[in-house]
Amino acid sequence: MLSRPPCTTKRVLKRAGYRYEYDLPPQKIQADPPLLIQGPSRFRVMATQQPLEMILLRQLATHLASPVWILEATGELVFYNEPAEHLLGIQFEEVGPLVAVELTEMFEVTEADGEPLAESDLPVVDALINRTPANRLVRFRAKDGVFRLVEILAVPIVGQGDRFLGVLATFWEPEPEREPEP
Amino acid sequence: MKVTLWGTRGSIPQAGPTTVRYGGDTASVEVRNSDGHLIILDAGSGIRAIEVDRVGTTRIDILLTHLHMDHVQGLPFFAPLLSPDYEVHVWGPRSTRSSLKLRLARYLSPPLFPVSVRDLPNVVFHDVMPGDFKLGSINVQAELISHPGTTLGFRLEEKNSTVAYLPDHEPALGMSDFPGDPDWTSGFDLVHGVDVLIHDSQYTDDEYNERIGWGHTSFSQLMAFAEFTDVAKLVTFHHDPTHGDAMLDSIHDELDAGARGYEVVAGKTGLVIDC
Repeated sequence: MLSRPPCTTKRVLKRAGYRYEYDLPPQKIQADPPLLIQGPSRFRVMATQQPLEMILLRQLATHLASPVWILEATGELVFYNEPAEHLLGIQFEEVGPLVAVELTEMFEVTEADGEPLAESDLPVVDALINRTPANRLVRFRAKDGVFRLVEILAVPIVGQGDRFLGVLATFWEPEPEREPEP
Repeated sequence: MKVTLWGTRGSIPQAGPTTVRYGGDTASVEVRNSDGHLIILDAGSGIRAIEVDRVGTTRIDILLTHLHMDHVQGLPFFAPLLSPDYEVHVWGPRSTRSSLKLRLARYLSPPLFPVSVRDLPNVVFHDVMPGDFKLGSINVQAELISHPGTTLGFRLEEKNSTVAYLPDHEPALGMSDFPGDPDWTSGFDLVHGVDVLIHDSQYTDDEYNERIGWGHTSFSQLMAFAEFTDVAKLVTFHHDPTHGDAMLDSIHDELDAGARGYEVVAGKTGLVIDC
């Protein structure tokens, strides 16, 4: 049997970009830029990490050809994949932190006929509030300036233990109506 | 905390001359707090080696990461479960539909096993959800981690000591840039900054490439993960049943040769770590 010397504790948090907490139960401390806390030794990184269900969804989304958004339960858009970047005309990294209702302004989302769309009728907002799937055909202006019609399906993400984690939304452009064949 | 490894093997027990030093029993780890309270991490075949009566223990807490056979197969052979002298608490993940007790009953019932869960009167089952709970002086943090089926990782903390236990974990699954953003890396919060990380090291790189999605980690992925999460001491664990002592010696010699910001310790049966 091997015996090892006592472990040394290690509390140095080297990297920037994290949020921190101290003591238990966890108390979230929001800080941007990161807040470096001095004092008691019981510091450790707070739950900046997403729940596993969200991590796996994001990994799946990166492999899908369908445009996908992932929003947290707070309504913050935390990820969209490359097909969604192509559809919207802007990379996720360029968008920055956004909440769902800001999306309607950013992309000038309206009803399919151009009439104003109430924020609560945006499927992602509907699914966040009511925690039920929501579907709608809307018009939006992509970053290339072109108005497009897009069908949005937003589905609540409910994890283990019935934890409401957020919303997954997927998009597709309706097939253009074809001229009747002679 | 005093941590002792009693089962270090993954998948299936592998007894024989090639596994004498690293051990052939499947996952089970003994943790004693400063008061001698006994916590057991997983109930693979190694659990049978744990001496429960040496400090007058009457309460035993068994934490199950998941219910794959190599993590529960020792449970019905653990003598205190059938003894009125002990109060055994079994903690583990429920599924979306079934409690821990019902899930375990699939194994602990005929025809797979002659003794049923209902025949264990001194056992209390607890469904564990992500979050924190206390066992004596030890705070336990449980989180879901990437592995087929519902699987938990644990972080144990007492005073200024921390131990993380993720015996079956595939954090690199589906990631092209592993390790990437901490927010999107399975297990990061559990592991970050711990004194001791006991972690899955089942595959070589070549083996991993043929078994992506099976729920395990390669040695090089594990080294990157340990560096990324800023651990002090890494203990390799859940050795593949085909990896004999000589092969594991060779792998660990190579790991020792690399300059790292943390200590790498080969997970061998009987290894004791004092924190």
